[in-house]
Amino acid sequence: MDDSELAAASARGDQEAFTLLFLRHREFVYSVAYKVMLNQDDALDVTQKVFMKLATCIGDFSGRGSFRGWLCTITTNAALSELRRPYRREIVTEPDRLPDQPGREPNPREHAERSERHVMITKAIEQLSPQQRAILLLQCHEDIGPAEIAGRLELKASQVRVQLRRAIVRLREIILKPSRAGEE
Amino acid sequence: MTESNKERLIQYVTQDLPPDARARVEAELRQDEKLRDELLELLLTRDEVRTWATTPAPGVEKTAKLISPTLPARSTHRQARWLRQVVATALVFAMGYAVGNFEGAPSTISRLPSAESGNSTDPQVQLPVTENAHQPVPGATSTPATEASPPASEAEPPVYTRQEDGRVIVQTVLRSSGTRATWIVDGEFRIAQSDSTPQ
Repeated sequence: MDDSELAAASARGDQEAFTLLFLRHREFVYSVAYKVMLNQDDALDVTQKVFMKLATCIGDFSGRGSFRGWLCTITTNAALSELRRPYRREIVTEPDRLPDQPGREPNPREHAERSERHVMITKAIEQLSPQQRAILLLQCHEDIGPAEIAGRLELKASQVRVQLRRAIVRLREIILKPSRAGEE
Repeated sequence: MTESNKERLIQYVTQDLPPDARARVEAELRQDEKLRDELLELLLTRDEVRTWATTPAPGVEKTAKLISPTLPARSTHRQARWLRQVVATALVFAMGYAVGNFEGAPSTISRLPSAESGNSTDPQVQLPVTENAHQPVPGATSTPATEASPPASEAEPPVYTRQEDGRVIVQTVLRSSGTRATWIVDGEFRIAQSDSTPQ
């Protein structure tokens, strides 16, 4: 069964269908949450919250568009809301260390998967704000423009455009800097 | 490379241009090599971001500890459905009672509707043929009232029968005429009078 059928079955109360959706998408939801929040524990909390919310609002999925895209919207909003909570700890949690960083023994599988360039890009993206990362995630997963992203994140379109532009320009400088240094 | 060109290229890459503006950018790209180089850098950046976005995050294996939430209980749905049937039945009874009382209570009662009585022309009361109304309803769990209609002065309580398919059969006697009426409530607020065997 595809995601739309599972969602429809879940809306009718089919626990098995919902569990299948959960198993199919929990890693995706976690990845999206982590990329906004940059903390594994927080991302796990948000993942659980997203699926708890989904259990009550699965019937809201209209079937238009991809289920994963809908899930991405819910997750980014949940992650941003979590970060905006007023009673959240003031101490900013350090982003999880990447593999091959001092203080953490690199996982051989992770080390194999991550090239030096990928590490550099990840670091660059992690320097952006959570909102900028959320915007980038939605654009990458949904292939939508700033106007639609603004609607999903309940932001102004002009705000999204500015954030997106700044993110792209900044990342381009960082990503292309080593190659430009080589040319010189 | 002007700033406005760079700006438009970013809009082009981030899908923020209407079709006509995209076409103009593409026309310029065909003629301007520097613009193409700039676009290439932006596309490279976008591709790197997409790789980041689609790569599993560190610690993803921890999601194996998570438990699938339980969906809300289904019984509330069934209760709501039964409640709707009860409400529909009560409405039918109230309508039948109101119609019967609205017609008044004549001292002489004609058991069978007749052309002279004028009841058959009453738009509010479209009565089935009386003898069919006495036939027992198939699948009904209770027996309908006896063949003899009670006098109008005595109010006969309506007989409710719930069928296995969920429909409710209501049999009443109109006080004014003593005529039997059979109402079928099928859960969708449709009221059908039937003098034939229900499905």
